Amino acid sequence: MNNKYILVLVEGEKTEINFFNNISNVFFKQNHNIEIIPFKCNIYKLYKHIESYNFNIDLIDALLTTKNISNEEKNILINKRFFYKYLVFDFDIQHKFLDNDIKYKSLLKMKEYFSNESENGLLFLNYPMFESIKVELSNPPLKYFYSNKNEYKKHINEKINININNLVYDEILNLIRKSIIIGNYIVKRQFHIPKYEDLQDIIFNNKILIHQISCFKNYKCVYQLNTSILFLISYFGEKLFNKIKS
Amino acid sequence: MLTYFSVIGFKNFKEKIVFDLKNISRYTFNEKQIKNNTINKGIIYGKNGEGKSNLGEAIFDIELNLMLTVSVPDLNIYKPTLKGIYKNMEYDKDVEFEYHFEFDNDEIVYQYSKKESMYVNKEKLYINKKLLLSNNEGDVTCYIKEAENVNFANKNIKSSALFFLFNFIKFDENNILNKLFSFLKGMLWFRCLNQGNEAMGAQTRYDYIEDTIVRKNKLTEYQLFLNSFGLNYQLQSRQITNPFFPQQKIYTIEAKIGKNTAPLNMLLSTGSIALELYFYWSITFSTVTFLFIDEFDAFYHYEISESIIKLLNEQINFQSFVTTHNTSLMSTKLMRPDNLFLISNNKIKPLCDCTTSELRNGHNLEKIYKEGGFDE
Repeated sequence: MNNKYILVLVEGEKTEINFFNNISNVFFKQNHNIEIIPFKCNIYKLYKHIESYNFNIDLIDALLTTKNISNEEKNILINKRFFYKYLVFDFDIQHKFLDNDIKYKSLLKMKEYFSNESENGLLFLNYPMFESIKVELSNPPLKYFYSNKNEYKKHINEKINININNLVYDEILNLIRKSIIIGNYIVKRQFHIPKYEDLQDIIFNNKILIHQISCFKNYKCVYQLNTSILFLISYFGEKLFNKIKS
Repeated sequence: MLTYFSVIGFKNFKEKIVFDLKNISRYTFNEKQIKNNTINKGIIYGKNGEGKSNLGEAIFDIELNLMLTVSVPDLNIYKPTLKGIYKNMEYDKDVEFEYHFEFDNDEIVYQYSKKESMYVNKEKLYINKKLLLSNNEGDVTCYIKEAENVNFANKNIKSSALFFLFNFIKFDENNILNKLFSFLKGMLWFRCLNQGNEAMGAQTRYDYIEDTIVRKNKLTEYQLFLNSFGLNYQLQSRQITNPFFPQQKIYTIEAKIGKNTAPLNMLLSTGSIALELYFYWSITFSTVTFLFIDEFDAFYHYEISESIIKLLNEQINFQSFVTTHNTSLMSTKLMRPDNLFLISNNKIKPLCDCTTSELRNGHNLEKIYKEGGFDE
């Protein structure tokens, strides 16, 4: 019996779940079971909860002690063993009820705390939201100038009619390729695929986040980028990267 | 170096198990654990009964062929034939072994089969892919130049033709067969469990542990060794009459405690005795070529286990493998994902081959293992 599980904690209840279910079918099939659990709230809520434990709490325990997760989902967390944990959240920098400096600090702290999928977990932030994945598929301008979060989602869904829930293998590879190129541009101002060793800056450390915060502070905009698809590179490593490069 | 080993039909291995030490990955950390593109250091894990200990015994079966084990009084000889059943009961053919060795740029492949533990019925020896010695139920063909005058008809039908050769001919130092024989003589297996100290290999000899430590002027080093593990004894030696051989004097070690002294062996805990055994064998490390320590840390605190692994990792002049259940050693700080092995279902694989995920420096391998992330 296959009892290996990967946890993907996503922010929203619908879009991300459908997308990652498709990814699971295409890339993992029977090798591993992927449990996708929605947090149903923004990253700052999770931050505040973990901060109340002085960042001395395992992600699973943190989720079990919040009200955001349903009892059914909590049973999944209790009864299954997750050898890798990924978190997918929106950048959410325009969140109304927090001071900007607090938001920056929270995001940086979360990126630092969730930097290893075999330890606390690996956090992927999407700029400005998960829906930026549609933007990457359709080649529009890179930057998004902030107005209102709900408007972004509405705007994207109206303007770009792409179904992201049934992408096939090559389309996903293409999406990863674009995310890497945009990520490399943000960090190094180079619009090409970097060397595999340089992916650290795009996937694991906080360089993209720092650049995006700076961009927002100075110009009230961010580069539209969905980094969550890059969890496939963090998982499969150089083997998958070489397919993207070729 | 040993670069490959396989066996079928031995103890619980009813299917062929392959231990491939050339299967290395491109990790750029802990690079000293790889030597000449071969795994030089390794830790073997596996659930109870999967064959960790049997693998070690299988690798050392070659020592039986070459009659390289010797009786010792203080260290009990471990005789595989007396421990469990030699041949797998579901396997009805002869037990088959295959070893690959590399010495500089030369490769030796040695294959043999046995009907029972002390009956080698077939052998083949290849040097750089050329068959130079074969033994088929006593019918020996030898193409080794130095062995032109060797009469294999005098060989006991059950004994190894290779052993016979080694006994008859003193090969030149640079001869690859001399390198092979030196390697085999340098193989050492030991463990310290409830049955006491056990050892296999040519390094074993007629010895008393404490007497050896004193005679080799290692008492100060031994004290420092114990002190480094928090055992803060002040040691001194004392010569006594051997109770078994009254005409012989031997040294024992005492610990000074305040104004009194006490025999050290009465003060040592089970874990400390295991440390003493490790230290005793470490005196021979300059001549060891291949070391296998079974259940190396059965009685150790996890910090001692880590320290011993670090000590072994520093010894790059010999290959060493240990078996353990201590998953805190599954760490990229100490090891690499290609020299941490899992034995399961008659297979032994490095951790990096037990997952479709790419393992990286910094991954918590212990956590991944405990959460079921590796095929087992």
